[in-house]
Formats: sequence, structure tokens, C-alpha cells
Amino acid sequence: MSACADNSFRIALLVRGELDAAEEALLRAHLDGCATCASELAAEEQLSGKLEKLPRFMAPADLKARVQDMMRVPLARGWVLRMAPRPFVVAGMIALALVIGAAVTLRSRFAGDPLALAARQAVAERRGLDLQRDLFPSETAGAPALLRELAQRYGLPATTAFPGDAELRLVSVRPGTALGKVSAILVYLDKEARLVTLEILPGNEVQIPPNRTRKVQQFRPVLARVEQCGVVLWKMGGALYVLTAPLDDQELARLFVKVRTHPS
Amino acid sequence: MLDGTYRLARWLVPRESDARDLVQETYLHALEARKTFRPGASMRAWLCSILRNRFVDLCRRRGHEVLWADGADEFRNLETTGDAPASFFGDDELARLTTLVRGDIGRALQALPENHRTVVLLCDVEHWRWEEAAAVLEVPIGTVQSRLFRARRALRRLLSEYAPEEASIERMR
Repeated sequence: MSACADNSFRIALLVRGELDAAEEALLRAHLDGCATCASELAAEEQLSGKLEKLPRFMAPADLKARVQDMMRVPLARGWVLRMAPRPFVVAGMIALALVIGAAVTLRSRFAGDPLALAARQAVAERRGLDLQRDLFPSETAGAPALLRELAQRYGLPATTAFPGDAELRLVSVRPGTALGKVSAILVYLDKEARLVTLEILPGNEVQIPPNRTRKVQQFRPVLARVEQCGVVLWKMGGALYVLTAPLDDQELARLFVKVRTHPS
Repeated sequence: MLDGTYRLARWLVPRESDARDLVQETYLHALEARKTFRPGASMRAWLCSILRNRFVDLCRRRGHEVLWADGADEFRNLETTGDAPASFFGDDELARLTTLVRGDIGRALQALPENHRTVVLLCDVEHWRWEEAAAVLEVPIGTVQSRLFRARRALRRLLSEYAPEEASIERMR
């Protein structure tokens, strides 16, 4: 038998039951006469015994249900399937699942402040969308139809939202969830290919305290920054609008005015 | 399969909420990247590989030390108060001893570097095949084996360091 130091790895394999019969017999013969290696084996077996006693965590039922729901989204969203090209549907499905996950996670953390929650959810949604930008179609032929669908189905003022222009191209429209409600998300790309999102959700019960607003021309929106992303929140006609863009405050304010004042 | 993914997440991050986030992010990413899955490969290894990469991203975003400092108490509370196997209920002394052992091994595991912790979890707790663990860790099988060997050595050393502390706590009770 080789030196005891060389046996450590074999002993580890013996504990795992991975030595072949011949090697095991050889090692066991050595163990009978070697206190050092016998002690090594005992220590290894003790460690394995402790590892076996570690708690066997099981995924909570609600997490399982949520993950299963994520997988089912493509089937449940048949109306999107009918109206949009396949990559668009996949992107929408992933975004919706991401939003649901983010909404559930963030809801508990920001339950007392719907504005902060809406801002964080919008930025989380934006992060998911940014990962899918390759899937955005070059032209959004189905956008008007999707906007009408969202407006009719959920009473959202989506059809009167900023439809995009040469500077800010509308590339995607999709349903989402924010503050526990269905929302409409309009996704734009600016001339520098930066992602801009506008989320519209029912906001009757959301109050915007005046002391949190800032004057931007004739308007008083809330300007915030979440993870270096600019966020503007405002209410109009009972809906809450959340605009996100990776811009500084001055550029963000200019963008807000453009989106807020477009002739609908 | 979801249970295994969740268990790895639970041992990688101390906060249960972070583990949930990791699992959800993992499945979302898997959905997004499903075309990269090779038919015939181990699905659970693929998922855990994604989870581990998400975890590394999380550490980069939030800082590894912060991650553990924030939630360590919650994790230890869980170790010492809950999740005991049903067969241990009704036997107070056995349950108490089991809890002590868990506390030891749990803390020792937490003290290992992530790549050592993961190899122990996959190979010695979940009893995965070498090649599956190699797929998750993105290293050859030989590296998995030597890493496991070193990780077990480190665990034994850590456990022997913790043992006197536990003994002194017991004496004070």
C-alpha cells in the first residue's frame, strides 16, 4: 500500500462507495493496521453523517405555483398569440412573468408607498425588457391593435398614450402587472437605442402628495431615480403613468414633457 | 426538480426571499434561453448552472459580504427553530442534539467559499453524479473531485473550530 497521505482521496471515495471491489479490499486491509488512516475514515464518515442531517428544504407551494404559472403564460395569453409575431409573444410572456415575480417580491417591501413600489416595479420590468431587445420587431404593425385590446379589456387609456415619433420609436406594446393590477406597457427606443418605457395602470386610489412633486413647465410630476434609472410618475384621467429612461434629470424632464403633451 | 433548485438557492443565500428571487430568475432565464439546452443533457444541472450564474450576478450587484451580513440571523433562526424532520418531534433531546449539529454544519458550510460550498451541496448533500456537478461548476470532473476533497477538509477543520464554542455554550446552560 502506498503512503498514508496518498490514501486520503481513496478514503473519501470509499465513503462515497465509489471504489471498485479490488481497491476497496486493498484499502480495508490497510485500514485494519493503520490507526492514522482508520481515524481519517472515521472523520470522513462523521462529516458525511453531519451533512446527511442538513435540513432538506422544499420549495414552498406558492413558489411552485408561481413558477408553474410562468411556464403556462404562453397558453393563457392566447389573445396576444393571435395578434403578434412569435418572438414578440415570447418577449411578452417573459416580461409578464418577470413583472409578476417582481410585483410579488416588491409588494411586501414597499407596501406602504405605492409610488415607490410602482417606480421599482417599472424599473424591474424595464430591466427584463432590456434583456429582450433583440426580440423587438423593427416595425410594430400590431401595436395599435394591442393598444385597443388593452384599452377595451382593462379600461386603460392606452390608445391616447404617446404613439412614438422619429425621435422615440414605439417598438413594443404588452400587458403587465403593477400594484397588483393589469397595466399597459409601451416600449420605445430613442435615437441612441436606449430603452424607454411608459407604463399605464389604474391609479384612482393612488395619491401623489404635492410635496413629492417637482415643477416641470406647467406640470407637477414625481421625479425619482431607481438603480440609476430615471423615473417620472404622474396621474392623468384616473390613470397612473410611469415613465422610465436612463437619462439625467434635465433630459428626463424634457422627455416627460414630450410624452405628456403629445397631441392625442 | 424545483425542490433541488430551491435547496441550492437556500444554501447559497441566507435570506429566504433572496432564494425565491433566485429561483424565479432562474426559471425565467431558462425560459428565455431554452434553445441553449442540449437534448440529453441533465436538466437539473442546466437549471442549477443558471441559478449559480444568477447568484454570482447577485453578489456582484449587492456585494457578497453584504448579502450574508444582512440575512445571516434569519438563516440561523431557521436552523435552530424550524424544519426539523417530523420523526424528531416528540423526542426533545434528540431534536436538541440534531439542532446543534445542524447549527455547526450550517455555519461551517456558510464559511466556505461559494465554489466549495456548491460542490459539497451537489455531491455530498444532493448526491449528484460527478458529471452533473461538473456541468454546474463548469469545470472538469477531476477538478470537481479535488475541489470536493479540499472542501471536505476545510469543513472538518471548521467543525473542529466550532465544536469548543458549542461545548462552552452548553456548559453555561
